[in-house]
Amino acid sequence: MKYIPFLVLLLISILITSAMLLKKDDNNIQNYIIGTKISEFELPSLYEKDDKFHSKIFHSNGWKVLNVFASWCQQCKSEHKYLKKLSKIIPLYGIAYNDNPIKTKRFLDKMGNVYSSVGIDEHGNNAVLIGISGIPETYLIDGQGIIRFKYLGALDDKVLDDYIIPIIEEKKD
Amino acid sequence: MVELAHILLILSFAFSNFQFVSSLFCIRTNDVNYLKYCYISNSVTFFCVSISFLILIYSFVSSDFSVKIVFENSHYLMPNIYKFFAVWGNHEGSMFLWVWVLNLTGFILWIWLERNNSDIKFKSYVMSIQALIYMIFFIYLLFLSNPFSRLFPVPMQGNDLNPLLQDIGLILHPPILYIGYVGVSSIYILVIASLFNNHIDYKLNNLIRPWALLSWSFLTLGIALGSWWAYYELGWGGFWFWDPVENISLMPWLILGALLHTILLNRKDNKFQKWVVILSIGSFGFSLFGSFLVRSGILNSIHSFSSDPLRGIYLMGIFFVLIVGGYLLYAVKYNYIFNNSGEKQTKFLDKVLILKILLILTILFVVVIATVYPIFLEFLTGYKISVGTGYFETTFVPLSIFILIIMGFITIYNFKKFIYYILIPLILSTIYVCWLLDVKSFIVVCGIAISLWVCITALYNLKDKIRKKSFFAIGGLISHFGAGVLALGITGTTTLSKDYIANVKVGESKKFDEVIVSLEKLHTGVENNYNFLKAEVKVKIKDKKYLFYPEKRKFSNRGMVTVETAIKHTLLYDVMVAIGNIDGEKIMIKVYKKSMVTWIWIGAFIMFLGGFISSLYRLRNRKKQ
Repeated sequence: MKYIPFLVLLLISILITSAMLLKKDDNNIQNYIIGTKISEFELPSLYEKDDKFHSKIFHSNGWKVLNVFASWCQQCKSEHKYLKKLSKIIPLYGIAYNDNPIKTKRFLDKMGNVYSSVGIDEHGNNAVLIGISGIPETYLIDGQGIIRFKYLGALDDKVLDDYIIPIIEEKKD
Repeated sequence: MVELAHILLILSFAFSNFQFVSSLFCIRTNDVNYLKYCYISNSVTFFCVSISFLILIYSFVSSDFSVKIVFENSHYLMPNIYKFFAVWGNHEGSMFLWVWVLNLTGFILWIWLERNNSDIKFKSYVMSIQALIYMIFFIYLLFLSNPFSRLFPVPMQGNDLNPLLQDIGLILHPPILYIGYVGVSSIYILVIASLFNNHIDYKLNNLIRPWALLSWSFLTLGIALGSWWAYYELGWGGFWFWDPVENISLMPWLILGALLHTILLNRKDNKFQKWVVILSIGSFGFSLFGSFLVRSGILNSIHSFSSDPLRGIYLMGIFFVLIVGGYLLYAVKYNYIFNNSGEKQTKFLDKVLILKILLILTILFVVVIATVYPIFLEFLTGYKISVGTGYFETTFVPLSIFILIIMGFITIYNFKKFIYYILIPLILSTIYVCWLLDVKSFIVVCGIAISLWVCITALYNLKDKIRKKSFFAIGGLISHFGAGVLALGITGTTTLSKDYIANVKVGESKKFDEVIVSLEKLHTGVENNYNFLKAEVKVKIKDKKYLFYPEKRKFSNRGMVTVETAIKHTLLYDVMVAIGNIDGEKIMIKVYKKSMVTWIWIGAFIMFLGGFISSLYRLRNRKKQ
């Protein structure tokens, strides 16, 4: 009887520790959103003067990648070279989340712009609508606007080689 | 400069070791001199940590970008005030703040204990456990989350703080919440020291009660500030999102609530002393568990600055040693807990109290399950899910309604008094509030009546206690009154808020059932780097007219458009107006009416005041009890 609180907590902490230690690297992949259609949104665009960054662009003209980033985000800098790699195979679209446009622009000028078009969510108001849960975040969207893959966190070679590139190549076949 | 701070931190680690050793000597020899060494080293530790923290703040204010966390979280052009508070806008700095608050409460704890307690052995146990906790956290700070890392070469410019954090909320929310989180450690220290000292009886309750009240009230304030911040500044448009991090702050708050009521239950005969011990250890457990879950990166949110698996494992280790060890100690020392299991029957009011405690613990269970279940599910099956609002609405809300009803239970055996002092005011005030808010739905009327029931019974009891001059109970009743006000605010916001969208031309107006939106004027202009479209919108709610000036800004060089919302706060509702799409001549005006939001924070603040007053009163009057 008197050992009950101790034993219960012992069990819980063992479970949590093992959950943490055995945490797989690839469990960042969000299963539940995959297969759903990207929600409707409309954002101001960073470069084109009056054209909006509308979710319609994902509904036609083949597969695309949507990447959410910000100039204040450290991890976004580290994933930039992988985005560059990716931009050679597939058109890339960016959303600058919670970012001052001037800084976004400066960020892209410095790092090199890899995006075909960049939408701006200056105050982060549209994030929930779109389904952004954190940055950086990358979506792979097919020609009909259906999300085929989502990755939360900075991209690296492993994610590209194991997931994104195989999916893109499969679709080409 | 920062190296000095680093050395001071190492020095304080050394002094906490010294405190630990000398307290062990004191336990063996029962010699007061060793206890004095403990006190000296405790003060020196606190002094060193404070200076070290100040130096870190100075390096932020002076924009010393050679320090890594300054580089990562500050910017030369950032307003000075944010430079100052950016110290705790990152992982390392916020852990440093945690440790500083830990030292502060530890410092106050020994001064207070020295005045109020004469048991040398008990005090030396307190000192040793305190030193142990200090050491554990100094190790964490020095080896796993060092805030003083330098950068070479020195960058010219910092990376700026996450814009979400550049806000008044950053200044207040973390320190106040941390006082709450860390204050719990005092309870833990006192309980564990008593267990080691082989003696636990009702006196322990008087020792831990002010600390429980203090932490509870600061947690209330901290949680409310976080919610206020999210509502006003982050623009999420709601006051509570059932985000895992929010739930985590709720856990120690709930268990402290249960602990406070258990102590109350023990006021005459300590039948439930074991509960006090279990809940006390548990409350520190949840406080650690929370910081573990947030910092380990298992949960992703604005609060998890950076994740490093090693940190998570170390924090888990701390949790394991302190909490699992604490419960083991509880089991070993079980026989030293003096339960007065007299045959006296439990009184009716005590039964109500037990029911309330059980309900609070049930809510706690509900929240814990919702937070931990996704983690386990992910571990077992690899699926990532998040528990949404629906779950909480079906579990949390009915349980809270039960608690609110029970909260109002009072001892009026006189039926006449009940009618005159409770029932009639309740009916009248419910009718008044419903008329004021124009409530039509029966369920909402019930919600308002239940909230007012809590307020009125608390007021009645308050009057009663003041007449009887028993001031000890006042704080609790004020908090209950605050809870009633809070419930009123939540009921209003969740059920009565409305959004209106009007597509109108200039000079046109559109009528919704109680609101008339009219677009009076529209003018465009040029500022430095943007053109703006400014609307003058008149919103008429019942008889009151408000003028709003929402803006849409178009930055000329980038063609980028931003929307500036106009907000008006009143006691009954907040109104926000924004310009939506422009379609030819017609302009979309969005009007959001959020009812009773202000009352949520007023209620929470009253709850804080009640707890705070009560804790100060009890801290000062410990001897007289």
